[in-house]
Amino acid sequence: MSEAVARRSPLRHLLQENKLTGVAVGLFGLLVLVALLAPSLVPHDPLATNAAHSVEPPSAQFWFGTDEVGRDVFSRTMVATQLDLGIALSAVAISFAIGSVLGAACGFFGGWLDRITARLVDTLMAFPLFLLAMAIISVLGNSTANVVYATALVNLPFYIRMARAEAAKLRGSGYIEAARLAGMGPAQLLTAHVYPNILPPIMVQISLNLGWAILNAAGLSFIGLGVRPPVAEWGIMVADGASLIVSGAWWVSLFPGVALMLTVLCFNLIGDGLRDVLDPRRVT
Amino acid sequence: MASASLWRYAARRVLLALPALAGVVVVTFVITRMLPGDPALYYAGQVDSFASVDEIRHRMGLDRPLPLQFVAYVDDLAHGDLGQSLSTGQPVGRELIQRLPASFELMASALSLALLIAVPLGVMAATRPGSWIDHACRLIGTAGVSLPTFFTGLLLIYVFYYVAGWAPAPVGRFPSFMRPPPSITGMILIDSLLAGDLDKFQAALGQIALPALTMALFALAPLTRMTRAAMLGVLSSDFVRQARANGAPRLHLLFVTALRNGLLPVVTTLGMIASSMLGANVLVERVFAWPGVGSYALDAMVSLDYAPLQGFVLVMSVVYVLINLGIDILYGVIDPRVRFEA
Amino acid sequence: MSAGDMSGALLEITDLSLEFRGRGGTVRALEAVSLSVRAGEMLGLVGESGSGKSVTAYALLRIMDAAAHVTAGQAWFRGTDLLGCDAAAMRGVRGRGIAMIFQNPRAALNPVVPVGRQIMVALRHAGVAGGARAAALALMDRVHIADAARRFEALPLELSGGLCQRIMIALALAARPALLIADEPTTGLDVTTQAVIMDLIAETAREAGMATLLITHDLALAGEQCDRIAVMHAGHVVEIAATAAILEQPRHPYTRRLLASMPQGKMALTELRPIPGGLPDLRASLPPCRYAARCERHAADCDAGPLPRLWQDAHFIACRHP
Repeated sequence: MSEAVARRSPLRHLLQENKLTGVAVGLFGLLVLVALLAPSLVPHDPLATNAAHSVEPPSAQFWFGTDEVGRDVFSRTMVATQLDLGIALSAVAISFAIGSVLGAACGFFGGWLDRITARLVDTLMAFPLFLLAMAIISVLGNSTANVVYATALVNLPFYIRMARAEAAKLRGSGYIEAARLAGMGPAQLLTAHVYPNILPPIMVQISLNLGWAILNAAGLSFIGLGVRPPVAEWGIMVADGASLIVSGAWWVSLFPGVALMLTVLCFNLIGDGLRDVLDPRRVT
Repeated sequence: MASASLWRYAARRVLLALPALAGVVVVTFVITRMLPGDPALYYAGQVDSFASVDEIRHRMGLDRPLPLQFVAYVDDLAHGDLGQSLSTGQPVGRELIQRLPASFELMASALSLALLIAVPLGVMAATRPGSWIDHACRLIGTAGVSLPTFFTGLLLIYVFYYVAGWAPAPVGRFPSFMRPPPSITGMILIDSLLAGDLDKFQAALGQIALPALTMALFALAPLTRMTRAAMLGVLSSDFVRQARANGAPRLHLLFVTALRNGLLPVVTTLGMIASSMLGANVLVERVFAWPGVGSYALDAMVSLDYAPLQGFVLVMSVVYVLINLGIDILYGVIDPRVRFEA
Repeated sequence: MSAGDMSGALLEITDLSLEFRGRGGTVRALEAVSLSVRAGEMLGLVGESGSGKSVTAYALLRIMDAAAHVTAGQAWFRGTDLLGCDAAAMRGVRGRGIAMIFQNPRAALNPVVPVGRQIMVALRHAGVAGGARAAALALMDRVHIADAARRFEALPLELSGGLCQRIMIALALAARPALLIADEPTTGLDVTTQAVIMDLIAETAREAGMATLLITHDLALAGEQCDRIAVMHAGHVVEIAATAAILEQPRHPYTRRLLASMPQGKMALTELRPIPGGLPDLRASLPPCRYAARCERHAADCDAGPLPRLWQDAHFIACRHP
């Protein structure tokens, strides 16, 4: 009986069954709002330095305190939302777009394309992914775009393998044979029949993948291989505050760190909720 | 019969690891040759101010065709030559080997700590569904993967060093006012025990506690999650039911029959965790000023000295291939079924 | 409701009622189930899937699902109250007093341990010390496993279904139980192997003086091997009698239709006579006789009072109009 309800309105079912997922979706909405509106609404200029107010604790004027060069931590944290979300979304979008198509083609057609791609994927996966990203950025140079490209590249095998596995399952299925006999060419088969059917399980992974992508980008920025200062980005901000923690100035690192954590948690909860709905056998 | 095929299985895995190693070498070569700017110019500016840039380029072998450069690169690697660090003037290879024990000690401690907590927790959560342990397990599983490692490290420093004063200052492996024990294994914890010096052991333990805990927290989430899920699956399986119906004692049923099967997915997860841990290691070494290979690479990078970073990536990737090989073989020991695969 | 001359029965189940409680409702899986097994005899427990035959066995060994709750009744085995005794006493009964084998033999064996070693472990738990390997090999011989020394090191995935079933039987016999419960032991096997395994079970039971409770949906199978047969329907025991009596003079309408529905030789599809309807929904409130809705002898007073349960010359029947 509850299955019928789920089919009628998966979103409502999802939110009812799992209150936590509902909260996460709400939080995601809030994040998007902040990302879009923060740059125009923040009280202080996120890049403006102010030597007179260096490393001040949270106060009425600076809600999250100030960092070493007097910048307002609150404004920077809010504005960074746009950058961090943007980096994660771009990186995942690129790796998803390229990876899912390539993987679907490999899984469905096999042959030399599959063999070569498998070699490439295996080679990429032989590296610890964060280190590979570090090496790539050291070559390309620090910039936001390069963080996106590096993250997208190390993320690629994930989508290729998933799409390939799903597409391979479809190889012998009846309706695809029928379409092929009706004269559909390989490109048409791929776009019309194979690709749409492999999407649902991959969509579940996208949310979880977004969380990982943000942590990856922030980690790279933390060690100085990511976004360039003075841009406001959560990872860089935590790095700025790292040396201050030992002397007790907790606010410089705490607020961007918590923002990072909440964002990733949000994506993970949504991903878990999606998984519970689309594949209820595997309850986490 | 089954044990003979374990050797054959292990040999097969070693053979399969070779292409991975080759791939790592090729890719790092490609990346090395894509240095920003012209390394010859850089050398010319830093070192030999009077020799011409062309001479330097010739000396560095950068004017030869790429395939020949690759052969030279592999030849250098075979002799352990990973280049020279511009900031310290020392060979990269030697410095990496000197610092490797520090990183290894950190990661081994973190992994042991994580396993010691995660496996019992996961088993208990599976045997008591709906209890507070079960809920705690699921909480750790979800929240743990959301924590940025570098942030957790900083939080722990703030709470346990600055506020509580329990942990020592995060200055590295050993407090600055003490001399480390004579180096036998390179791992201070073991060396101080071998030297019978409990004071030094305690000091080293204090220094490693927070960084190991930070890394352990990071590995804890997937391990706990996977142990719980695997045990839940095994405990409801037919063969566990059969063993129970046959009167198997409870402890044997849980820790011998069920756990052995339940650990299989956990061992597989270890491969994934190893990859993330090698990455997290860099972050943790930075936060805690831990003198391992990660901070070596990062410190060099700040001075635009790239050879250490590339040597570091190459070495750690080779280590990663070897770790995966070890995990594959371990899996074959636990589960004889995989030895039958072609 | 006790059987007339069932004094000294090895296993005595009286008025066992059991329900499953879950989010979808409460399923009254068993109601007032009573039966007994004498030492050395083979009792067949026959019924459609969902009739509750396996659930009864699981309840005896207390290996039921967490959602299952016994709401009434008793089960006595050699002086032990199976449903009420503590966990330690229960572990003493499992394997040593009562052993059970299941359907799908390969799935019931530990997939990563060689089968010979599994038998050794079972022997160790049963208290057979020293020389366990020799005892295990002897047990494998007893269940007629050819080339036992080589098969000793084999993993379950290397063995056929029939061999796995023999290993299961060997595991069950390790502690020399007085009663063997065989839950659909031959259902996953091909027909030839089925016959061979059934003969093996009957033979080992005879040699060891072991009683057997054979659970099956196959009335013909029960008819070949069992001394007595108990028929179940929708959580009720509807008829118990000696095999010959059940097969030649069935008294309950359900048993009669079961017999009639068994294919005889080669029959056209149209000649098969299935029983109309299906099992009732055990969550809903049910009439006293759960077969009434499908019964051709259904009368108005069937739904009125409680279901009569009578013994007549060692023949049990639960029906108002047999």
